Amino acid sequence: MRRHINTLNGLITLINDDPLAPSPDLPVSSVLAQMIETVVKTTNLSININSTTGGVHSPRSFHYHGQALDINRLDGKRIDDVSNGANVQVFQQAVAAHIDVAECFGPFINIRKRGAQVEQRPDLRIRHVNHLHISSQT
Amino acid sequence: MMRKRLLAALLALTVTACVHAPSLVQFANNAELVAQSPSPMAPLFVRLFRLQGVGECDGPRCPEVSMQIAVSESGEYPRQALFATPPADDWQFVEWGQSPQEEGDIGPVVFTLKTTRHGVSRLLRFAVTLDGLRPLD
Repeated sequence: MRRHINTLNGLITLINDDPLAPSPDLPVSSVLAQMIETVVKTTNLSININSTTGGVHSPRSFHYHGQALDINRLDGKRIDDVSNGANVQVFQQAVAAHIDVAECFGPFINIRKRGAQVEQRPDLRIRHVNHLHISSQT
Repeated sequence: MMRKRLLAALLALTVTACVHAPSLVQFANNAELVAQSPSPMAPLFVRLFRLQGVGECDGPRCPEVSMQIAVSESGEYPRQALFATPPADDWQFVEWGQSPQEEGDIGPVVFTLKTTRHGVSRLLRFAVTLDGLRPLD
């Protein structure tokens, strides 16, 4: 089942970083929506989602099935802003600990989960220094 | 002496490249997608390509056929693999089978193929994972 992500009174924004590209405010997996809303509420950190089901991703990407999103800003700052490191780390830890997470890639944590199996992917950090990629298992 | 060794190494690399290049060229030109996993979000996504060798039948001898089996996880950086059946007179896709779901692991994808060799056809069931392809019967 798909639904729009609840913006939680402005804590979550959905603005494409490419102003000419379509809005990422599209229906996604309800599990993904619930997971990201829970993490935002838990950490009380605002986020901007700049990609959901649009954009260009791997052919087998979760994005195309509404199960992945990208975050380019957290607490009003860019993900790669050095002064934002502590917040980004806290947010990634909360995502990685969530039971429904499938992928959590970013500057601090890079894991894939299949069921209870967790695979560390430190090689992916270099591709996620300026955004977070988060996906859900269903 | 060093120059001869360097030339020999370069020649070996060139020959290796030539040996490997035709298979991708042949695949891109001649492979036919005959089946793919019914569920795009299954833990393992499988595509089956029938690949017939070039040429024509010469009496009873015809170009051989193999089935190329591409396997991929889902996700942004999936592990992927490609396997092939041994060559035969023909390979055809028959049906997908029930995949035994193994606790805490990704279960194999099961499917049945029909192979024909020297005019005799038989059904073979296979299980494929990222680690390999194995016959079940």
